[in-house]
Amino acid sequence: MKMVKMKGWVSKFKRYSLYAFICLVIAIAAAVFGIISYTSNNAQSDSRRIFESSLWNTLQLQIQIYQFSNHLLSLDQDSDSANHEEVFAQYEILMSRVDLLREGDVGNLIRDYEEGRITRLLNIINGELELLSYHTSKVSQGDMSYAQELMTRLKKIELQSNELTALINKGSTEFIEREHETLQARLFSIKALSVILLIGLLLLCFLTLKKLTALRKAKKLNRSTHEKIKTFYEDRANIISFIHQEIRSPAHAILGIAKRLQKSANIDSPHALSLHLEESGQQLLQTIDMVSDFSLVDANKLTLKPSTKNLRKAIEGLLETLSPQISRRSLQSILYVDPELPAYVTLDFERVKEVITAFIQNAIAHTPSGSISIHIRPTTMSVPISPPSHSTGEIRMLQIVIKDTGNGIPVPLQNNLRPHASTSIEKEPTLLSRAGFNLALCYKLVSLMKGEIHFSSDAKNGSEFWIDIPFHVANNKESALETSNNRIKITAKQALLIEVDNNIAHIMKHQLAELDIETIRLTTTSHQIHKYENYDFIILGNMTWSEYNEAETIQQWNQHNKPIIRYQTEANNDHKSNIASMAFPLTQSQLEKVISNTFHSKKA
Amino acid sequence: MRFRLFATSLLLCSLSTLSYALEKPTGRTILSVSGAIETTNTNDSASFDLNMLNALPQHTVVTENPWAEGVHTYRGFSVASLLEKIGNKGNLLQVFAMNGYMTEIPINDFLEKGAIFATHQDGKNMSIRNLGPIMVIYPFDSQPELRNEIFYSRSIWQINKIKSIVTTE
Repeated sequence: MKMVKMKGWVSKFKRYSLYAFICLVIAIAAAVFGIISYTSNNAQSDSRRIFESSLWNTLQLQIQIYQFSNHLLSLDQDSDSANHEEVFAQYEILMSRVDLLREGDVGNLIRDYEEGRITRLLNIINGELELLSYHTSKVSQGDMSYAQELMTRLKKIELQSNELTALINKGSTEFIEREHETLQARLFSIKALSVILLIGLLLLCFLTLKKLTALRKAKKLNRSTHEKIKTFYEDRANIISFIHQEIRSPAHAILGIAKRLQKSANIDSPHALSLHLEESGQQLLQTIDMVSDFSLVDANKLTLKPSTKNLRKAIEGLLETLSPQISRRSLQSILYVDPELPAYVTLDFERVKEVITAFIQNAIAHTPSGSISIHIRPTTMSVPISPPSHSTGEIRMLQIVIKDTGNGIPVPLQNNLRPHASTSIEKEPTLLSRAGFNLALCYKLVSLMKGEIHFSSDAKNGSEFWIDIPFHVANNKESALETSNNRIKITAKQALLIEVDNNIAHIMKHQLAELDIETIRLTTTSHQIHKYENYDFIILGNMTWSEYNEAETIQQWNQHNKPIIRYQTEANNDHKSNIASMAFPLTQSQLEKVISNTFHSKKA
Repeated sequence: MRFRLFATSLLLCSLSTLSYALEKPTGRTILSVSGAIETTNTNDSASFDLNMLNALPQHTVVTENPWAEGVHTYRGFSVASLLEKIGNKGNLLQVFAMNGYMTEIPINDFLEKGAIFATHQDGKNMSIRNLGPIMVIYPFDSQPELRNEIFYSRSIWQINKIKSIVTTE
């Protein structure tokens, strides 16, 4: 709804911007048109021409009067007829000049000079000259008796002509002044229009640049969207491939069991079959959950569902579930939860389990033999600035270390993962295609939990992942009570651990240390086996009986009353040889129980 | 420009070769042409009365002009016909008015721009008072580019003399 509102607002803004742009273009066009109109000098040149013509014709009128007078003076009775006829021509020329001043553009211009005085004066001159037409006609016919009166009247017209010239000159000066003012006003208008034009052009440039930038951004966004769509399709194909891969095995298992049930009425091991069936079902459910979570994270719709649980129990339960998968690949597993961590913590256990499951499955895939260890411990890493706010309890960080003895992660995959082992992993849409579904989901979930993932891997020592996750300390009193009640008192102080696998030995040491038992570790049954005598019991792990006979050695230990604990695929206590056994996964709870039983039975 | 000069020279040469003897005016002389001409009918000029001018091929220009209100039909002779008659060698005409005013008009104005020497206004002879008997008129309406000071100043009236001269342009 917010988005819709935002889009509406943006669209309105864009519409107004378009209107503004159109107005701007119209304003620029108007300014340009205005400047062109104001600078056009057609009207000015016409005015100037007419103004000049009025002065010219006035002066020509004066000259013509003088020429007419002079011609009359040059005439006498003896003059030839051509000269007499010329008198009328001179008169006609004079009249034509008067007509030019009274009519046409010139007449229109000077009509308003001096409030009509010029027009009145011109009419008088015209009337006077019209009256002379008879005299002129007589003189042109050779009758010189009219010449004197003609001359006298022309003298009078000369004075009027002088006045006319003066008036037209005055009117012209005023006209020039008006024209000058008009030009000044036009110049001011041109300046104003030029400023408007300049501002308009600058705005237009600015808008054009903005639009170009927006266009570039839109193109970039378009490209990015295309890439995202492409990646989305690739991711979808990868997810489908993953679903196919993950579902295939449990589905086949279920179908296989179903066929066996159909074919034979008497099943040898119905319990094992039912367990296998359950495991396959769990695997299917887990795959569906992972796919569902992946889709929700991608759509930013996944909400963490924190709950308060006993951390050790929850993780041990998870490892128990995964144990068949691990043991089917002849791998061993061990878990240790540091007692420094609160027994009860608040976090999204389902998602944490998904992450651990994914990493263990990844370890299984890359470990042909050996072990997988899980070590959960507190870390000094700083709490994220905005941790998940699902509880009011104290926020701390825990670190889940998952280590295997496998071949390590291929270098290209490591390179793909390294730059993304941070919270910015969410921004990488191609993680799925580069890292595979399991790891991609892990990175996304951990990022959602405001956590981080780091790793170290090489072909000799296998891989080690550190997953840092914030959690809230549970505020219930059960936690403290359970912790204090579960503390068991063991009389044994030293254990001899014979274990080739460093990974298991390392975790086992931690487990024993929690029970205040010091560990002496041997990697083989060499002569050193009898060097240490102060140990209270022996733990037989992965080892080879190189120098000593297994039966003799065990007998000797029995004779010395040294209890033996051995771990194997399935727990099976050998009461005859006094060997207690532990099954994988090796957990603290199991070790505490076995040691407690061993020393309890010993005391008994 | 060179092409125009060449065309004008060619025309003048052709006019020159086609010239023939000019009859004398029988009526009152209203126009005399002097200067670079080959054919004369008085001392050193070619004189024309109105009938002689009316006998030349006539052309009409319908236009407004700044000196007479409204649109008028002007009729008169083409300079080409006149110059052909007198064996002209010049390329520029000095045209004189009765009051002594003079203006120079390139012959091309008559050949290319359609200017004429008008002797009639609206079918009537032009009197001196009506800016006659001869007036140079340009087709201002059909060629608005002629509406400028250059062609207005060349529009001379009350013409009584023409002098043909050769410029070295």
